[in-house]
Amino acid sequence: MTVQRYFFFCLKLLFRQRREVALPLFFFLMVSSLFPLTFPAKYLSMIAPSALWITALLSILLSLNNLFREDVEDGFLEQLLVSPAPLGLLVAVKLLAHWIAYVLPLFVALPLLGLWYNMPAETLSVLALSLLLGTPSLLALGALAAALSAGLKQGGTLLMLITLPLAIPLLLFGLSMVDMAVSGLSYAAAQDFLFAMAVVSVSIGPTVVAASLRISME
Amino acid sequence: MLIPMSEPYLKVKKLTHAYGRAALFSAVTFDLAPGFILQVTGKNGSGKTTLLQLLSGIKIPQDGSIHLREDITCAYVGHKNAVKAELSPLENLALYQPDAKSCAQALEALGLEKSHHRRPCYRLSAGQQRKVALSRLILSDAKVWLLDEPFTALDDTAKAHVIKQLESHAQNGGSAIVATHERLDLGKTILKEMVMS
Repeated sequence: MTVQRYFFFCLKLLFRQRREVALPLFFFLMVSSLFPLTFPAKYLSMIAPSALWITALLSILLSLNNLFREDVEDGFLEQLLVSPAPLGLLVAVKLLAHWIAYVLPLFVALPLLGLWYNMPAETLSVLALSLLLGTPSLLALGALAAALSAGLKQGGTLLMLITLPLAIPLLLFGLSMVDMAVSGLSYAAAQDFLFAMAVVSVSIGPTVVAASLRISME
Repeated sequence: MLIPMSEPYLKVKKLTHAYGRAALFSAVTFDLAPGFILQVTGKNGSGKTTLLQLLSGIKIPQDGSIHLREDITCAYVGHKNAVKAELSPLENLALYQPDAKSCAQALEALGLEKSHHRRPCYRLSAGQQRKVALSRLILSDAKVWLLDEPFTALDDTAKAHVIKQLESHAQNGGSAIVATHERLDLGKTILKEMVMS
């Protein structure tokens, strides 16, 4: 098993599981659509960043529910553990494939929702940038919780309970970026924070998740 | 450094494992020499699966040592198949061996007909999925095979195929540790037995 082969294996598997993979996207679209239906039109552009960030956050957490559980149940995790390829790298490519399959489609849906929420193009682009910088860290945090709860029956609930409080700074800095942009101020500080978090998450996250998976097998 | 051919592939010394305070096994010691198949038997819960997981590196030893010869690797098939149901046998094996022809040959060596090679594994029986899992061993270049209950869900013909593969592996200088309750129909010159109690 090589890292490169495992990446394409993950993508192929996610493509075959496309019905399950589409569910978090539908969740994102459905829940995001509820706000324009229930809020007065004049407030929509005000609540849009919060509504879309929170819905994207929940949608990503929903997708993480099955990140390692299936691998534990079908014994595939054991094959990852015995593979000569470093487990941290295998986890990294699994998360990359997961990001491509679950998170990337959210960005495709974003312009459509932006129109519905009457969001100016500039605000929408900053929101997209904040999500782009925030989602790698969110994925890493969620993957850590998924690894720790992989063998548990109520793992999905635990995953939410562990990840949501840890994701609050990402949410706040993401929304702060959009608020600053709307107010015409520089959002560089919030952007730098999210970028730094993303760099830290991408560089050490997979190793920590790999260590958690080993612990969960003990 | 030149390693003598007769040097054991695996040296296990005083291996001990416990879950909580309950000791599963203690001071397990053995060597696995090239060309030998070690059958591990023992009642349910005696630690056969844990032993294989320790030897494969899935679990970390609590006490004792496992020394694997530097120039060799292990391949492991647990009691779960590690087969992705949505993918076909060939697609599952492509992860370990990109050459589809070699994968097809490995599947056929274990008696999985060509007509099943491209079907999603969820359409295969438990025995056929087991054959997919076991064919990973044939594709690997590992000298030591670790098999946990390899005959689960296999019919007599398939069992004979597996035993033939084990025999051929041993004749080519490989070794294997097989945890099973089934009788291994192998020559006494290559078969060793160990009972976990």
